[in-house]
Amino acid sequence: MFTNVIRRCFVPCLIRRSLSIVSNNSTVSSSPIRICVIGSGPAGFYLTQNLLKLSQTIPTTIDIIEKAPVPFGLVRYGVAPDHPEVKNVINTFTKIAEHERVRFIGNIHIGKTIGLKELQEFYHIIVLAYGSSVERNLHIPGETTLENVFSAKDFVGWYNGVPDNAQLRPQLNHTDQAVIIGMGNVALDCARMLLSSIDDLAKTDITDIALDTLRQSRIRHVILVARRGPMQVSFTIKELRELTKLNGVQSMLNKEDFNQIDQTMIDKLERPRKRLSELMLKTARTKQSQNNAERFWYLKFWRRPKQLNGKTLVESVDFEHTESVANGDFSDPNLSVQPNGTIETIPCGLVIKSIGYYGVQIDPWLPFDTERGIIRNRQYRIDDRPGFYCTGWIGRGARGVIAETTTESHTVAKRIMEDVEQGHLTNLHDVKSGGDGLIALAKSRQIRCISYEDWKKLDAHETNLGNAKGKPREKILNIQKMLELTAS
Amino acid sequence: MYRLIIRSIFNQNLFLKRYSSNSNNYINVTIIDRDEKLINAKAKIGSNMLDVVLDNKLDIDGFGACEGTLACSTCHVVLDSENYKTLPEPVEEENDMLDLAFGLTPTSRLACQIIVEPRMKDWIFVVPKDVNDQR
Repeated sequence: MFTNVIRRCFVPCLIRRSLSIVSNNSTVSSSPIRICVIGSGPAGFYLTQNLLKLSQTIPTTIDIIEKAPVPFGLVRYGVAPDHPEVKNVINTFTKIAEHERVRFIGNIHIGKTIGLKELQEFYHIIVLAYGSSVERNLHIPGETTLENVFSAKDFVGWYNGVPDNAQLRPQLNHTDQAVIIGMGNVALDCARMLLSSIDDLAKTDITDIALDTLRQSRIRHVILVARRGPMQVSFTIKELRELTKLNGVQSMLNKEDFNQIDQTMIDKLERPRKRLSELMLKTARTKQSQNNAERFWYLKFWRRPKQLNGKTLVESVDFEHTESVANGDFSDPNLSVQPNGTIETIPCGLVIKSIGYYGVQIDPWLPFDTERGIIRNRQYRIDDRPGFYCTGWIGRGARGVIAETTTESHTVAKRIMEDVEQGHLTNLHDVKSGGDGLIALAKSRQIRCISYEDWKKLDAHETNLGNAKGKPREKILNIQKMLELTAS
Repeated sequence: MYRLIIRSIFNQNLFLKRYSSNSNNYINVTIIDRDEKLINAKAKIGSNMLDVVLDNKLDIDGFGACEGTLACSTCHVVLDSENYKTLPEPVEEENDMLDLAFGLTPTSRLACQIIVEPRMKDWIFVVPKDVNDQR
């Protein structure tokens, strides 16, 4: 009976598949074009969505390769726990991953266990979408020697359940003052985690370890420090507004910092920068509104960190005051500054550096701009590597929210399909095995690939664990355990 | 015979009444998609315009990614200035997201924040292109 079933299902299936290959009348190739997207964050998923849309009449398959055993990149590990609505995009991503022409392949580290060049055997087109995961450093004394000094990347990884950051152990109960160096959205996220009420955080997917540590936190003052002025801040208005509305938390902006900003200057700005500046101005000029505020956040401008001080734990930061260079325009986003000679010491027991990220060169064969931390590319086509493209932060730098990456992916998908249709790619007639070949190679190297179905098992487990505690999920922090749960 | 005719007319009237009282819950609006195609859509009164796009199963790429929670700008629509003026002011959080919308205009709104009212019958909502098409 079993062989009957096989004969009835398997054979017609084979016939149907070979017929479809023979009968498709695409002028481009007689077997599917195999596309590989490296990275399963917003860049990878939105590019895949757009490629699917543009390739409906050309047989293509798209494999999304991910280094971690779990998909979604920064949507899982970067977006703050109290921003669940931003994570709604996961529903869109799930539909994409479950599309019949898409296959998610997790736990494959390109550049380490499988070389970038090796992928060419299985794929016609390869798109790098692996983001920017290395933090920028200050390169000042004390930065690497004192305890309780963290990069925002590690601090965020700690409260978001990145396995590598599970043992971070920030100490928050011996000090009431924290300094965050940098004024971007990640800096604001860190500030918000330190200032939010525990009851609010307890209902999110923040890890239990972080929740317990924050519950015992004595931090009451969070000071964000930037090297330039209010017109050069990198954070965006939604995140700033959120901070100004935190319950029991008082904004402490200095009116004087905004004296040079007048209406003429504001009116010349583009809408997003204009509204952001107006909100900062309003916040600075409004009298203290919260009488029962127990926690405070400050923005201090024109200060560049020079040195961290302390015996074993950090105890203070020395800043040199800065001023704009001669003829500098106060509202210039690229304003240059120079020290003006004054040094100021700010005491603190915790330092978080949040000054940006850059990308890594995952394979020496990849043309790379080490200074900017991006792949060398022209209009998303990687230099000197036909068939190779890039999208997202790794191609344009680590700036911008998901919306910008989504917009960019439309253009990148168009570019790729143009190259396909105009015959710029010469290997499209080759028959390639795509994911089947890649998975076989991975197996031969003892790598266990995780499928989307496997992820869903882990997903269900995390969700059930979390729901039992009134949280949307409890993230598993141990890679081995994750792999076990994807097999159960 | 006469009874039959009267009854069928009576039944027809009843049928029309029933149909029109159901259609009182819906109005017709026009949505112009990114390929400049005119689409007639049925908009349920009290729902929002993102719901309308979804309920009518319109195929608009990436529309409403955050599912109406003011965490993105993908449901960006443009109205004509007369209709725009009659809408209630956007809340600050909507404006914050509109800041990020590609091709923002003075009469742009997020569809998820526009609640359908009977007076919006035959209104036109334009879904703007979401990327600069210049090569």
